[in-house]
Amino acid sequence: MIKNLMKNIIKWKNIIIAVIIFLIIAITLINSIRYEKASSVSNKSFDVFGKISMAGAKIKNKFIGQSKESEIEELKQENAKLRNELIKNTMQKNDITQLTELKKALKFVTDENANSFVSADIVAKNSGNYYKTFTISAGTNSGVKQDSIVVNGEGLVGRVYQVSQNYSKAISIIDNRSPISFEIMGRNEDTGMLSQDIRMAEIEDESLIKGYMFDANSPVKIGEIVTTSGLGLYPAGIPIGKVEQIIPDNQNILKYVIVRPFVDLTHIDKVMIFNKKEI
Amino acid sequence: MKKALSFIIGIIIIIFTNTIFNFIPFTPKPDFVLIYIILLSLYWSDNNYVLCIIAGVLGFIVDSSVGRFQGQYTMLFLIIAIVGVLIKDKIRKDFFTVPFFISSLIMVFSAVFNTVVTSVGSISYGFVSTMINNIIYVIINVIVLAILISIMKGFERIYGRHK
Repeated sequence: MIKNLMKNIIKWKNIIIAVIIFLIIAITLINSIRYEKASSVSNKSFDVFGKISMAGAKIKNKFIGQSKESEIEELKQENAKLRNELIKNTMQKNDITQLTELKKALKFVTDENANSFVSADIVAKNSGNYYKTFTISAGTNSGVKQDSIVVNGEGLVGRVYQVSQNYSKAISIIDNRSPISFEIMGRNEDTGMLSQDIRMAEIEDESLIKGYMFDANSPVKIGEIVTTSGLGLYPAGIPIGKVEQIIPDNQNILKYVIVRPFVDLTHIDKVMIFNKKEI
Repeated sequence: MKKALSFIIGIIIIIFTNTIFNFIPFTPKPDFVLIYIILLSLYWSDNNYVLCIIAGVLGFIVDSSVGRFQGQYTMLFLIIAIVGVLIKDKIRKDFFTVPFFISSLIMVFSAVFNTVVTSVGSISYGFVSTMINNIIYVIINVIVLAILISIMKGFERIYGRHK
């Protein structure tokens, strides 16, 4: 009996090995989809290939002149600075005082850590036109953690989802399943949630983000600016984009919004990373 | 030597694609790594296990470097290598049309596989945009494949004449 079994195993050895390997890869893939976690082997190899990618990025920068790009980048940052000032000025004084008092009362740690930005280059990116998954030249050695927030001069870019010693992998807001709480600029009671995971509203253009308003009667209008509201992972006031489309869903008493991000996700060179607020 | 060279060329293509080619602002772009794996699988004349190992490791590198989900490209490249191993001796590779047709079928399979993983894992775009994107992806890759197979055939003819 055992002899027969052994004979069969030897006979089907190759198929058994192939099935085991496929099962292991399938489990890794399902795990990665479900929990967005990478193995330590993957982290180590990510670090090695990050270094090689950095060399490739240097070659790219040498051959593709960056003078024009850096000029554009400076203008973009200036534009973003002005936009941020506008957002801050629009936030009503009373609201700010109330929020400060609330923070004190709840013993929140203030957002001082938001000032400790790490500036980094993008050294590699996914195939395709849009930046969905990309490698950044900053890792745990620079203080980057999983779920650190990635921004650039124009607004919210995404979040870090895999981090090694010297490099981190980030996913942009257009490929992000985790929700981003937002508010309409100037009306902080008009809030909602952006998430590409919403199956009810389908988008044809992959550069857009979908979401919904918490209040189905919200007076949200096309063209209004959307910023992070401060609930959840992202601190308040980071510009996200402009409302491009509003889809009322009377059946589910919901109001969907389609947002076009401020960040040009077809072209990003430098990003800033900071850690989420600790409570 | 040939095995090591095939692996090194794969790594160079991955690095070139991730750090230089993907940053060039034009769309749609051919997937050179996938094209390389398909051609390698169809024209591999060495040990079949080595082909599977090379394909698996290159897939793992793509997943680790810029992949969204760990295992997506490892699985895809392994499937392509196994398909290559199973059919490469049964097809007439001296004609252009046969390897071209099979490569195109593998390309369609890759597009469907990536769409399924992406829509299960992250976002489901509208049916129309998914279809259009996939058709464009397959067409552009098939064109590059046709050019590369023609070049290979040309080299084969010249090399064969000299022999």
